[in-house]
Amino acid sequence: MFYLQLLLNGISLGSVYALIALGFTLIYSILKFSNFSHGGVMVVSAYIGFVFAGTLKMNFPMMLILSALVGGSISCLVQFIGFERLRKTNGSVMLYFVSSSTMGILLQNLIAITFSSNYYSYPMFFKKSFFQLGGITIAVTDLMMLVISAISISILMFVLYRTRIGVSIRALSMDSNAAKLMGINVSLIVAMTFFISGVLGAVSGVFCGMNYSLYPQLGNLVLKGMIASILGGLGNISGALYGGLLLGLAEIFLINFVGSGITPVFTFVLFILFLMIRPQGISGKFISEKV
Amino acid sequence: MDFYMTLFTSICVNLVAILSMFMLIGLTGIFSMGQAAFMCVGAYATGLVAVNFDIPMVFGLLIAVLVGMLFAFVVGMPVIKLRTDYVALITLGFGEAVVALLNNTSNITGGSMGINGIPQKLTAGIAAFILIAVLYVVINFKNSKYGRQCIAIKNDQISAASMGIDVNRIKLMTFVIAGGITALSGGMLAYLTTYVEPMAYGSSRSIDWISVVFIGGINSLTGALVSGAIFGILPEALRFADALRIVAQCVIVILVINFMPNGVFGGYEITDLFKLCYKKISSFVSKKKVKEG
Repeated sequence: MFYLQLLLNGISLGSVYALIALGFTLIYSILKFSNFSHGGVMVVSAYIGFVFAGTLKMNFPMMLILSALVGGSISCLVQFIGFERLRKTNGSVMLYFVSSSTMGILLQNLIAITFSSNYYSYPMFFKKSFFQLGGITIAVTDLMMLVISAISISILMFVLYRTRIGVSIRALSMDSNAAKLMGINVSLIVAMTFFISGVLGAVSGVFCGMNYSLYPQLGNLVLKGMIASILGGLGNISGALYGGLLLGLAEIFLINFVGSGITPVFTFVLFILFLMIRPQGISGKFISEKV
Repeated sequence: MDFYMTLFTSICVNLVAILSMFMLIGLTGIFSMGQAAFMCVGAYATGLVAVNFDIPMVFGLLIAVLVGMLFAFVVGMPVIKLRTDYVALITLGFGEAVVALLNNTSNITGGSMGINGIPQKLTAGIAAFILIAVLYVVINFKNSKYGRQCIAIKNDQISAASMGIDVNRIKLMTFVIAGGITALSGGMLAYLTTYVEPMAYGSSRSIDWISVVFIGGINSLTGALVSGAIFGILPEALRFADALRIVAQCVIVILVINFMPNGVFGGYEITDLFKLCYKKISSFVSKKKVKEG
């Protein structure tokens, strides 16, 4: 029963990590660089969700949808300022790295200036914060996290594999020049992908804000998403999902057995060992670079 | 030490770290997001030794370098042969892991309180001397066989490999040397500030160094040094608006990356100026001789 409880907690934490990893890996799959600004988008949307819920007294679904839309727009804006020109001038990968990490720090500091470095917490949305089910305690936030992550992941999968936009995104991720020749509007699709990734980032940001408390360095949680997406194989959509779940489970079990402070060290060591054995990730394939 | 001397010394310490970052990004194209963790490791190694044993500063710094190189080797070994993204993300993870480890081993490292009471031995003269020595090493490294191999790797890894360069070995070597230099700057910092604490070495510090190198120009050592000095003085000048300073720096970085992708200095070094002057003078002198003759 105890292990079942841990399993449940692990899966609900893992679903948030998977959400972060998906937003991160979507950008990786089309532009082939690690988007460090994803954490910044998460923080900004978490704070905006807090403003919506606390100051404007919105209810939960309304707040989530609105902050997701705002997060998507911010992500588009980041794309426009940081990467649009680089993409047009065929800048090297290094420039993307610096640009994205700078954008991340910029967003984080803008939040720190506006809201100061205090800790905030979301108002309570639900009357009961947890309930018992056959010996297992289920926190309502955890359950919400699990359900909404599952819904957003299914919507994402539907968009990616069943719609025209999804086909274009996947074509772009295979070969941007060929996609351009096939008449795909590359700028539009890149902006669209950033929007989707921003929406995912905003949802995960709001949940992280509800689960922990709000502070400007919340965006460092994007590191978990990055680790999850490497575990699953960088740039692989379903891999990010498995990687997130695996990381969530591993963390919950480690926290239980070795304590929460030292857990990052253990996760890092396990992660390095995993990379030594299987560097391409769970479901990734290495595409050898061509000259 | 008075204010200006301390400022000068801390800029020297920072420049040593920026030189190591230049070796990684500017020469080899390794993107290390957690380089500040090596500084942290060096600072703790020096701090622990200096507090527990009464040894001269040289040995304290030497231990920092060795420990830094050891850590760089352990982290770099499995990682360096993977793509740039993996190296960036894993070094980032390493930085977080180091901070977590230091926070939780309070019986040895003092936990989040850090280590206090390190003797203050670093004077401005010694710091400047170390900076010049490291600069000498880096310049020679850049002009040596290894440095040129590094530049080849940065520009195109596959063609470098096809020219017979052992890519993984050279990259690992650069990573280890750079780790040692960063740890050296950490040791210097420990001797300067007399205390070390884990929270000051997060990823934002590494990103700060990266942006300094990029503003100066990733191919130019002079550029890295000049922008490092300017961005070292700036926080003191703009002390009243610390958060705004970071915003201003970010905006400068984004402008530079978008409109001057090679940085302010491009590929030029200060020695190019001397060479140019020498050429002008010598051609002027020879013309004069021709006229006289």
